[in-house]
Amino acid sequence: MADLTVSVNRRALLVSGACSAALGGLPVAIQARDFSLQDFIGLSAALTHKHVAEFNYAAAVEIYNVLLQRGLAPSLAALSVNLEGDEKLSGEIIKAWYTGICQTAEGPLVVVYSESLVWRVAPFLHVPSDCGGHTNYWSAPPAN
Amino acid sequence: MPDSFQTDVVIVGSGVAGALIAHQLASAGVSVVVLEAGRAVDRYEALQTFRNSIVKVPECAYPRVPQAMFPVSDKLSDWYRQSGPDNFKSTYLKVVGGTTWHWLGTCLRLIPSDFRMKSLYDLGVDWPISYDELEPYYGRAESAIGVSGDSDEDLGSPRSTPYPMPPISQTYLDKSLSKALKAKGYQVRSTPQGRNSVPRDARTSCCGSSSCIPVCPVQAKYDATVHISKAVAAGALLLDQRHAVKLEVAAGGNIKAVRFRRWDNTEGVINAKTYVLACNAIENPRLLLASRTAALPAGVANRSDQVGRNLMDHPVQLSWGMTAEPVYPYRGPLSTSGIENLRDGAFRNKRGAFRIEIGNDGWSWPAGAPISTVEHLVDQGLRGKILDAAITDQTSRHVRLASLIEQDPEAENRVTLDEMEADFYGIPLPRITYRLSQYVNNGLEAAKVAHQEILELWKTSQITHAHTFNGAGHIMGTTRMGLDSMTSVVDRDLRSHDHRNMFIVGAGVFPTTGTANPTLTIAALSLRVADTIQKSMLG
Repeated sequence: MADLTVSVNRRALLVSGACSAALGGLPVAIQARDFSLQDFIGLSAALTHKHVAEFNYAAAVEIYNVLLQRGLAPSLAALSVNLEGDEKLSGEIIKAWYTGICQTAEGPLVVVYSESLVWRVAPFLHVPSDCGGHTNYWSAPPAN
Repeated sequence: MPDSFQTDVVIVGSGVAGALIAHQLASAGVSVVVLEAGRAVDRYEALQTFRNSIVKVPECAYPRVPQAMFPVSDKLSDWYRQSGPDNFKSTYLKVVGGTTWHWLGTCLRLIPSDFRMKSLYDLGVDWPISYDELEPYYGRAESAIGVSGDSDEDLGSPRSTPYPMPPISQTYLDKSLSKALKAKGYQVRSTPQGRNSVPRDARTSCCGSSSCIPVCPVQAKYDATVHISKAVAAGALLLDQRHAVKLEVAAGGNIKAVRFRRWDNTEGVINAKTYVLACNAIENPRLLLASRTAALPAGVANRSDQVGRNLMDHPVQLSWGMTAEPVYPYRGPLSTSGIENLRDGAFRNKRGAFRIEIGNDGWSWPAGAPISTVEHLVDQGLRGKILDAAITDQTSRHVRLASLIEQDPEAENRVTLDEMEADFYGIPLPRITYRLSQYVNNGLEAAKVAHQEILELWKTSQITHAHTFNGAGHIMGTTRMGLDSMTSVVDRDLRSHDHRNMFIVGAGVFPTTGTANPTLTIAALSLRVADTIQKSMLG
């Protein structure tokens, strides 16, 4: 699993740069060779309708690298200018962020666990193996 | 390290049976050596391994090594050699603390009729001991493990002592089901469990991590390392990463040595006055059979030809559905309630009884949810807030039932030694012949009918019943206890009929299964054995 430590400066830079892409779309056609990590986070934000700040940086590195190793840079670049152009790839990216599991050439790989989106989008869910609350909290419905 | 050890008692296996016996005897001043094939588990590492695992089966937190191999649920054929016609699906670990690392924690007692199946229902055999004889030991086992339970509900098993802790609260989901079933004959009751409801025995109370299987992050759930640590503190010697490979028999019939191999394949030997086999119902018979010699060609303790026979489990019928209203599973222990009033009746001469475990883990077991739910919804084209809302909605309504079916003993359901393949040490792999009888299949069908009715009363949609049984992880039989040395392996004190200085403990000695998860009965029987050994050694 990815190291969850993120350089604040690096992340801030990344977020500020990717924000405009996520919020304003991707106005410039991106060439495959130029499809950067920053572009990938922006694409992920656009596909999942999330803000770039919600993504785990280390996991982004892993997913991005896995996709590039599979030779998908051109497809990613194409998807970034037409978000509905490749449903299979967009679905794969969305699943990776929600489940924390990425498909590599060797098979599935857990790239992130605790920060998978599935544990955050459903307010009552919590990360299995993390304490969920005080003893017997489960006997009442969730507060939110 | 020395190659040979002398001790009063050697215990092979450090699971709950071995740990409790080691602790009691060491505390009484008996010299004890515990031999364990596996290594100690680092809880933090186990948690990390679990998180990194793609397939989150019960064994996923515990990496295997060739020197301490065990079966895993999704790769049974890595270890078991199966002759069918059905596959045996239950597994175990080889680590310090044994399979209690990933047990659920359920601590039900057997009910009195479970001990008298032949007399009452003309099925199987009677146990050579009664519920009343075991009752005080059940109380001691509950205290040792630390069981949280409702002392006002005996669940069909009369009690002379209260539970040591108040019950773990039922989930919101359990209460929803209880309301739906009111006046319908299904009684939803709090499950007694080896899980702290309050801080006790230097362990914290449950924080609802929802990962009891495979690992509790805070040890609120009991595991046998509790008593291994206490045994070592009391003077017991734990020899881990040493696999027992052979029992040696003296001319007079007593066991004279247990030979082991270290992970580097060097040899060692332990000589003791008393030997206790406390592996499990696969590894105990495997060791006995593999210790065959020219003088004992059928193996050790096997004059009866019963070693390895009568392999049993609680074959599981799984059913699941989606409630109309949110019930919020995936929060807290993986199960906190069950339906326990279906465990006895005249029907037991025709079909297996069952208890129904009410799952609190949504569709994790049958379908790999919530991950599979996400994948399904994404494949349907849902995105953004619509996807998030659908995940919340669906997962909040996931419910699952699991009925644990009583299995009748059959001599041909058995563990033998594979003739072709062996492990790292040259011990033949376990070969399993296993078939579900009509008695079990009738029980599975009855459970399916009950599940359908319950899920309909709960106003559940998308009701699905598993097409095939699952293993419960309750490996029983194979070294049965009995009064007759020609039809059983150990006597009523769990002493080998053939070798009077050897005891065999664990669920292997169960003549029949009942429907209670076996750990508490294993613990009670083990404490009884500890008393027997202690008395024989110290008077």
